[in-house]
Amino acid sequence: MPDTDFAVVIGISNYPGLRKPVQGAVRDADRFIDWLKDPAGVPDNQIHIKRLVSKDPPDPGMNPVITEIDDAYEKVFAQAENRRAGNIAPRRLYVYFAGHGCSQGSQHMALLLGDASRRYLNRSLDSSSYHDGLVRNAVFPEQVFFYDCCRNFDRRVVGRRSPWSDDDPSPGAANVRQIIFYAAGFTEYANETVFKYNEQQQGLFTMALLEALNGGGAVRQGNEWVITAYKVAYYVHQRLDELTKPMRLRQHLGWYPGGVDDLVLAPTTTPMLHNVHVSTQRPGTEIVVYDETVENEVERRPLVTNAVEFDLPAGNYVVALKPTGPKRIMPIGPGEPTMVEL
Amino acid sequence: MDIIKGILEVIAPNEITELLVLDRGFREVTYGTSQITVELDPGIYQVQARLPGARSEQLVAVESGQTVTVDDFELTFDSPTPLVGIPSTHEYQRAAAYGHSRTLHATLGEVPNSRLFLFSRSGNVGFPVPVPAFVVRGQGLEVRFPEFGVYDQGGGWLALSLALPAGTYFLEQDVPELGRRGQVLFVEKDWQTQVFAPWEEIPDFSKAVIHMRRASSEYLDFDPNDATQTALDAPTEAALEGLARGRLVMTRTDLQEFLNAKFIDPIMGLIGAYAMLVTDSSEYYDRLRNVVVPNLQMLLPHSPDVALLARLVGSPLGWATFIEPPLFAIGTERLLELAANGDVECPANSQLAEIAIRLTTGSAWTRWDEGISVADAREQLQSALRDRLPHGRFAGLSESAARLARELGLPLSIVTQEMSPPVEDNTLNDLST
Repeated sequence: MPDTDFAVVIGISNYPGLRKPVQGAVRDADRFIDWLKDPAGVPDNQIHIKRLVSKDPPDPGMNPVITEIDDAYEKVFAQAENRRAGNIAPRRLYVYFAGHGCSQGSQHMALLLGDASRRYLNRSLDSSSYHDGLVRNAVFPEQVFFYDCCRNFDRRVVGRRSPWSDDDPSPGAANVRQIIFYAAGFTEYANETVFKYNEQQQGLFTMALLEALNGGGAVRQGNEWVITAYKVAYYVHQRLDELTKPMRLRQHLGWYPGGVDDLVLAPTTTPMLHNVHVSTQRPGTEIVVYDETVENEVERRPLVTNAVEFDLPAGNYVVALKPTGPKRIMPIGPGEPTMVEL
Repeated sequence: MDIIKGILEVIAPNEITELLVLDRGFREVTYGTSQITVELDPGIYQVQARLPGARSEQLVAVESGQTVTVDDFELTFDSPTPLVGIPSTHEYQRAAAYGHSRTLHATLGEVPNSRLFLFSRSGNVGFPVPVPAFVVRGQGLEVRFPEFGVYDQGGGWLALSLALPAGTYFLEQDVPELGRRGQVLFVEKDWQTQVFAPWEEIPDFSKAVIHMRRASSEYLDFDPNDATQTALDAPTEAALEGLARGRLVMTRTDLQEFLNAKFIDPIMGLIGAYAMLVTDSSEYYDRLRNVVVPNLQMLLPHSPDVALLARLVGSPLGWATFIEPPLFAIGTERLLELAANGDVECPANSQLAEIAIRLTTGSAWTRWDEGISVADAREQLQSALRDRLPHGRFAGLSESAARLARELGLPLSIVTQEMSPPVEDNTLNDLST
């Protein structure tokens, strides 16, 4: 797959015109690129991964600006079309943004660019117009967006439209699948914090996201572990709650899977499994665990003593005592209890 | 093979509880109030129940061919209004509200024929909070708290009681992490407007409950034992929370009670009227036009909300020009829709125009970002307009202005004014290349 996937990654820490830096944005963008290279397998070169980040003082910064971003997209499209000419169909585009943002509506976001200032907040990118443009040109049938920025409401800030918004839809437009992850719900702020392990600021969303992409969002498919979009959403949702509660912050994952059932994002060899202790004082012979469909069995263990332990990836499960015992819903993941009594 | 569905039944502890069912992808499956019955594919779903001041979530497993019922939510209604029976209130807060609603801390203007009573209280007494500051201004008048008004940090309450001329006023305060915010207040001749706000880090007027009581009547001033207020306080808060999210959280019975109560508290009538508008039903439209709005016009002749409602239902008494914003955020949204289409006039230099370009959201009341100057907001709007003008040949500026006004949800007059000189130059440049 690797040759078929591309990425545009933007990290803006330095906003000279706003005098309000997003300290961890460039580092977060680079951490995301690390995941793209491995395990997501996007080729480690500037053809497949476009990295656009702000510069630090003494460089005056004020970058990246809209033309640089449009240029990066155009280059990605050109490379993807080259692959297509060589009979390798482009598959997926990843877009990642860390910086300042604001929202006009539940599915809109203006991504503030490096030359934005308090007076010129419209030096920003209208995310919904770009989503629309990327569907219209349909270069990539799968498009996954991650936005680590605030979504506070601002009616004035619309952002600049994509250059492809007025194009006629390409033949493949109907089959484009888009999944969008927002760091915060509409009107909410995305927050950064300093973690002791490196004393460097990091976006809470990107922290949770990378944990999910590197194993927290794992699910078994056949004999392999994979990271899927739904599982990433589940993990990030739980983890953000866990991270923000002690700080009394209000930040909830915003995510729009569109009509997509689920999408495998990457394989993983390091699934994050949570040890769960299930005990009962009732008579029974087996403990059975079902996944969130309530019908697919994922584990079955004989009840030798009055307790059984499971190692499960994050998700909601139903655990049942067989043959006639009670059933109970068991949420597993960050911040969830690991002891269940039936 | 066909999937055999299961049935999920959700029953809330009372009629004003909002209910929401989400699937495994956190997508909304269904929404309602009080009770929901829905057929679903087997799976685990999340059920959310929400009351003012309380929220509860549960996971539920829907199994093929079976019915599962969820009815054990632990929700306790809470309110900033210090009524008897509200769990977080204290006797001395009720006494303070009762006493200060009957006291005047300042009298403003030459014809102080209306009254405004602001009261905020903390549910977390015993942890003294810093003394807040805010200002109420309008009609060329201004009063600042705590220079006027009273507070008790230990008891967790503050009060400001004013006599002032009828009309629209603006409350301004600094909000942590957000900056300076403005909020609309409205007072009417011979009425007392009562604003009850929760006091968390600061008095949070965005979450206030507002009532009105007629001056010089048996209903005068605030009474913690007021039967009407007690009966309607929970439905009022639920309806306001719903309106803040653009949703209707009200039963038909509640709606009737709100409309009946308008002669005692016209705010109830306004909530009921907006709730009727949200349903978009022709039955309600006729009733609004013929009964509800005429009564409200008689009760609140200075109210932009009432004038807007009159306009929306085609009453000949609706104003054609608005210079002040409605109290209700949903009203301001509706008014801006009309103004964007040019159906009402909103002068480009009016207070309404200055607020429209700085509006914020998330409250039932009209609020805006006072931290940004009008000049800066106009410049940002110009920049947005420049970006959104089509390149190449296009129809006249007026046609573009009309389209952009609708796109941005801003009055046509503002968009037309801001487009005039700079955008025209830009357009000419585009054409010349």
